[in-house]
Amino acid sequence: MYKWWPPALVITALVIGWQAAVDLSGVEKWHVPSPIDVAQESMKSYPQVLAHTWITVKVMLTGTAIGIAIGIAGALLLHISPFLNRAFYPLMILSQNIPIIVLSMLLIFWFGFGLTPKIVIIVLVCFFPVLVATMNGLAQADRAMRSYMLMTGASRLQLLLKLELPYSLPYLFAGVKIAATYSVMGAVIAEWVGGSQGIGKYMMMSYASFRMDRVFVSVIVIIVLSLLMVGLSRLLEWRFTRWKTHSLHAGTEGGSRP
Amino acid sequence: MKNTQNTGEVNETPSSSDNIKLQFEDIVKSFREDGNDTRVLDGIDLHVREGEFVSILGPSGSGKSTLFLLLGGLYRPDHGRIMLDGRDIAGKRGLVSYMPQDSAMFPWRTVEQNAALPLQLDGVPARTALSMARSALQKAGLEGYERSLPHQLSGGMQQRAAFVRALLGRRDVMCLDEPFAALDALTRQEMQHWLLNQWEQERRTVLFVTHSIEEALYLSDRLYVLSAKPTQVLQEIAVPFPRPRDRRLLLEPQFAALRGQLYELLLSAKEEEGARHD
Ligand SMILES: Nc1ncnc2c1ncn2[C@@H]1O[C@H](COP(=O)(O)OP(=O)(O)OP(=O)(O)O)[C@@H](O)[C@H]1O
Ligand SMILES: [Mg+2]
Repeated sequence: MYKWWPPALVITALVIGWQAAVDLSGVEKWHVPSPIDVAQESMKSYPQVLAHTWITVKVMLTGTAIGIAIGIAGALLLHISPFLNRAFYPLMILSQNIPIIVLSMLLIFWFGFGLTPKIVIIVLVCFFPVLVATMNGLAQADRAMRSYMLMTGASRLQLLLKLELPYSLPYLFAGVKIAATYSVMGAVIAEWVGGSQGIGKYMMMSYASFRMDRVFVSVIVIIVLSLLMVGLSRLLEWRFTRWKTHSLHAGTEGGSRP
Repeated sequence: MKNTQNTGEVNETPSSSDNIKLQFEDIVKSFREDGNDTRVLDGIDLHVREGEFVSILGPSGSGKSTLFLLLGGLYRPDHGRIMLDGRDIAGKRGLVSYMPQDSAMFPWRTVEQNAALPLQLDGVPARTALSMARSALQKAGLEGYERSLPHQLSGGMQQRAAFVRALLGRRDVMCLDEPFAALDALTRQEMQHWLLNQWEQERRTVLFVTHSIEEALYLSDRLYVLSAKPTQVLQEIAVPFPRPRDRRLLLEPQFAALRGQLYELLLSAKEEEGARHD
């Protein structure tokens, strides 16, 4: 069982320490807000915050879903075609080395302030971890199971759908979990650079008007969103790889040769 | 170095007609390892008649699994022909059904889905395939485990399921590669008996790989003894015991005599190999 109390203890201690430090040092609230200030502000402004959050959530879920779909489709393509693999793989790695901030600015310059550039950015940060992880999983398929399929006369498509794809699911979901955490960051940065709404924009506006308490509220919202995304991907993972959770024992690993 | 021997009166089961189903003709196969070729199979000749149970008995590493992978079309022989029903099938896949050395059950598929897999690969619709799998599993004594995942089954039951999967492949020839090697002695005996029962119901043509002498004698109509690598057929032996067989066969003097003879043969093959390496 996952032990929740050690991190909870640390967090509680940190919050109390923070409160005490603010109270004892007497810094002003607009400079460094205390946890109580942040809590009070979040009670006051939550309708506004929720509205912004909701916009971010929609963009984020859309972008992540498209990114994951593209990652899986790309992995399948690169897996079945060695030519495409050789042609595109270096390009994909290259694409990951462009700083996301520059990318955001360019995309907003080209596509304007609508939803499109934000979704594109999230797609760009999400597809890569899924693609790499899925490709890795597709290539790992158990040798003994593979030769069973071939001996039994499976076609390339059957091999892919009935062995390689299911076998790669645990790998795929490892990629999805990384993508899920990236997507929150991607959304916030995109809104930051060129949004009119969303939690990233709200954070920037608060900062510009010296409302540090609101900045902290936004940070909390972003953390919660990240946790929810990871939770969601774990749920999906559990749903699709239930067999894995208890069957990782002898008998499923195959020999070293076909 | 090959001699055929008929031990005692040849038992004319209905299966031992001259109808040859499968034939390996002078099969040579080398593998390239670290830049130099190692010859594994060095001219293998063997055949299986329609409905016959033939075992291949050989030391570890002699290329028994390789023979199956050649038959299944995963490798191509460097020389020689593999004839099924009079056609050369070298390099053609999907013509025999296969039970691999480790059961290779798909861990995300339930037992019935695993058993139905070869049918689905043949294009049988999933529902029909599943109901056929279910009834075959019940006949094989796996009732109640149809919806379990493979890891929930004991080793013996997993092998049964893998056997049912091979049966449902609906090919004339079944290739079983050391199906019981990983089982404990008691389960192994039980499974041999079970396999014999299952086989006697259908009398499919079976090519069976093992390195257990007793298993080969107990199960087969005929058996081939292989040498160590580079591998040749040392001897072909017709097993004279009538069917249906049961465990009492193991106590018969003729069984013990044959077992002793085979033991000597395998031992000399091993010694010969040892001498080569010195
Ligand atoms: N793909 C391959 N590449 C290189 N060498 C191979 C390959 N396949 C088999 N060999 C070699 O061929 C020999 C025979 O292998 P094989 O698995 O057929 O033996 P086996 O008789 O089935 O042994 P066991 O009883 O242990 O299963 C071994 O020495 C092995 O190293
Ligand atoms: Mg083998």
